Amino acid sequence: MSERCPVHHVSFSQPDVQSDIGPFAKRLLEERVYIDPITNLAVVSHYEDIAYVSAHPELFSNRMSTRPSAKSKEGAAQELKLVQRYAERGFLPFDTLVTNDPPSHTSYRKIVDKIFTPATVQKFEAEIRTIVDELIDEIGPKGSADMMADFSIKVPLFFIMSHLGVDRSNWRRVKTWADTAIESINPTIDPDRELEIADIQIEMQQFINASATTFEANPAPTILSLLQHAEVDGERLDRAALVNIASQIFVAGHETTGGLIGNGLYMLLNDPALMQRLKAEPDKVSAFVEEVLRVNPPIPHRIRLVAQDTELHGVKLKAGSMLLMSLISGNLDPDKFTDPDEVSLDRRNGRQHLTFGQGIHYCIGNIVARAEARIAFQQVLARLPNIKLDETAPPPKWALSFQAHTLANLSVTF
Amino acid sequence: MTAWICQNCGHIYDEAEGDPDSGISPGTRFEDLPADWICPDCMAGRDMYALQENA
Repeated sequence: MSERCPVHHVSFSQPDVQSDIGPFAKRLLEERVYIDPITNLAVVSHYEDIAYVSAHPELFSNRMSTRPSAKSKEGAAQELKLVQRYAERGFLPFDTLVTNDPPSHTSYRKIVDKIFTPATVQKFEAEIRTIVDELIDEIGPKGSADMMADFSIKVPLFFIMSHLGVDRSNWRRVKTWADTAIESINPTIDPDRELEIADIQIEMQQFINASATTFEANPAPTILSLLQHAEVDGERLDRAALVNIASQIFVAGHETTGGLIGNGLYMLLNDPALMQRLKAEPDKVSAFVEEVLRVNPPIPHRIRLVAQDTELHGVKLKAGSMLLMSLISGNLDPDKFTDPDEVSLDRRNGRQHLTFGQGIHYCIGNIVARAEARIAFQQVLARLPNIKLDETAPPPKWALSFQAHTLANLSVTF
Repeated sequence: MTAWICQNCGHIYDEAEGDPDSGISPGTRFEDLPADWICPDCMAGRDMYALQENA
């Protein structure tokens, strides 16, 4: 993005913004409500505005994107095609967690909350550590690696695959389930691609459904099985809700955490003093995880549907229009975080970034993600102490994506 | 003094420390927190907290 380019001509949908999102995210703070010139989304960037939007689902609804609603410009005809595909071969997505509002959201969330407690996640930590160590065992003797492809994406992917009962040997195919789910969120998606992605999502649903059938008869200490057998007020999830929720957990739990680990490793590789401090003080890695989430959130923004005519800072927002919360901007808001560009391991409010959301939609897998990132960073620092960027390989680049702020590659030597 | 942990995000409310940023003095027992007190990190309500077993 050109330094001289006026902010009013810039959009999150532009590849040059996606390849270096930070400067635009900060410039957004110059305005309270910015109208994206390409997507027409109203964008809020200040921490307090995002907190306000998050706290008012009656005005800014999340009930908008799970149903196959044809985000491409083909409209109703495309939507019908998508609905038919899911209805005939899979499970028609419907609003459960991420794209739902109370009271329906509350009943689903109560069940899922039973699984992702601190105590339950603590029991998963040994398994996460084993996955991390096995991956380091694999790359260590080679002396170099792409820490995105060979490590970061595999940590959460292998973890969640095992918890959905999917064999690890299929990981390349399974990864496309998550990649395409993220891709489908792009508001400028091509309609043919949208249909292809529906087919891939149906394949994911079928795998999860088959695993659920196995776990129904043979309960196991896995997330899918625990979810399947969890009860609130004597009620369990029916199969359609289970497949929908497990699909969301899989996608959200893999792509985002892989990005988080990669983003954090990149920050460490660019800051030798920080790396040294964390080697000496591994207990501070938890604080570092929060700073990665704040400064380089793998999901930089979230979208809400304006549910009724309203106004923000003098800008009229019509019911049915879309609003984008720039989480990365809010995380860099100096009114909330002192010296926001600085990575500090001693922030008193370091866990109050917006990356996991706020209120009823706070990321349900946040405790798992935090554990995965912490263990990954601690083990890399301890076991690959000489890690550094590979200057003979292509330099790290941010993936060109509307919805994700993650690296495409991260070549290192150690 | 005991500690309580938010089941939503893992925030720990330590009674010895209170929550000064929200106007809660050190030494405030969890039971004595105002009804509208929320987790400072994730905004979950008080009902999402459980006694931390190893505190």
